[in-house]
Amino acid sequence: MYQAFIDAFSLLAQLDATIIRIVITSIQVSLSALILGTLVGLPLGAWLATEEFAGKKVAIVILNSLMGVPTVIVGVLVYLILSRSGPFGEWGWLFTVKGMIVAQFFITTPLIAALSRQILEDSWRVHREPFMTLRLPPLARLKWLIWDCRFSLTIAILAGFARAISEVGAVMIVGGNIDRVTRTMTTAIALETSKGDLALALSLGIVLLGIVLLANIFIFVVRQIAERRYG
Amino acid sequence: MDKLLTLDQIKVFADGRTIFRADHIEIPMNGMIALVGSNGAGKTTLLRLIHGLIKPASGSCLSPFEKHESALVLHYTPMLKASVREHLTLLRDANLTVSDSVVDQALASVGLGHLANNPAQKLSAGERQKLCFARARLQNPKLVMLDEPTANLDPNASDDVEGMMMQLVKESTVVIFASHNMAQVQRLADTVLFMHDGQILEIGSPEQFFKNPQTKEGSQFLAREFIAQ
Repeated sequence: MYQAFIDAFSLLAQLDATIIRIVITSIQVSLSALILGTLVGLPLGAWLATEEFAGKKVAIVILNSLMGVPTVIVGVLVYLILSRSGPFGEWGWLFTVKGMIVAQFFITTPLIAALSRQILEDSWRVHREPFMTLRLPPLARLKWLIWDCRFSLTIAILAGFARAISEVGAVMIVGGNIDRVTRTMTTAIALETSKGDLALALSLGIVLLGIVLLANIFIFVVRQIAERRYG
Repeated sequence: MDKLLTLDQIKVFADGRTIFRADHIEIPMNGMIALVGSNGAGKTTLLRLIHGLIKPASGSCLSPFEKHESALVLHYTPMLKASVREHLTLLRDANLTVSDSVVDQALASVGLGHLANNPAQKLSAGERQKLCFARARLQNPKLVMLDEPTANLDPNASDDVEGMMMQLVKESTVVIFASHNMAQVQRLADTVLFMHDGQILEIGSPEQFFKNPQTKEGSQFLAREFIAQ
């Protein structure tokens, strides 16, 4: 076991090309999915937080449930959609980075939307009447509500990133874990562990933990600065 | 005298009960108008009704002012996580033309010019009220409504806010304010509206109301208020 750790740190110290390629693919997929998930999830969460309509409670329960859907289920559904016989089979996105981004988009979006809704709804209760008093149009209300909660919303986005970068089921099914093409940190860890190459698996695990830790530190520092600045 | 408001067969419901009602009431447009009454009497409801924040279940509420010609300063306005200046520039999103120089002038006029770039959440209660006042004035209203504008303020801040209210009247703006401070009402008001249990029971001059209230509820209210004060 100790030897595996020594070999893992050795691989990292050598900046092994295989590791770097896998890490870049992982970050490329997860960040792209995160950006798309934020662009859709944040306005969706804001809309659910501020609008009243029939079936809103049902929509919230469904959204909250989608946060916990196993990633393999998402993977299977996206696989069916992108497979040759599926509705988007012509695009040829199965076993590509694009396909993996689509799969992770469906994983991050409900999470970001659900957490954003909760954060924004709390703020909406406080600011609704002042906004109405100023006669701000609906889009302006959303804009200032999101602006007011911008530091809290980083937690929702961070949660989306953590879920995307650490999931293995969907990218394995949709990406196929193809060497030099769709292999990510999590799929590589699963593969290398089953092959017995613990050094590579451990080194990727260390990088994965480091990325999640760095993201958390970044968000923590941003929030600290913001709280000092804005109270 | 012109009428500020004509309420006709109006009823406002909330949570299954009537929180405001009036058969036929005409409120004259006369300088500064004070709304007085116990908590729950309907003062805030009336202000929100005039501003268009709530709609009556029945009846009509007619005013010579367009909706965009009134401004309402709430009893407590929570601040955004934004600078003092941003609290005024957000009016641009309400389709108002507010240039940077106008914002600077507005902040200077309420003594907040030096705090323009500070976070609004760090303002004191008095400074927050002044900021809300500055924002209300930037809306170029003909009617300004203030819900307990000096509640929780120290005497100096109260004096500043009262000065701003008098300045508005000098500029021919109609001011309606709700207050529990009877001394303030006597100092500032040209007309007093006494409200009780969701109804306007008396409309008259401060002298008339304070010396000779016309209703039993008005007498009891004044007795309680002056004992308390």
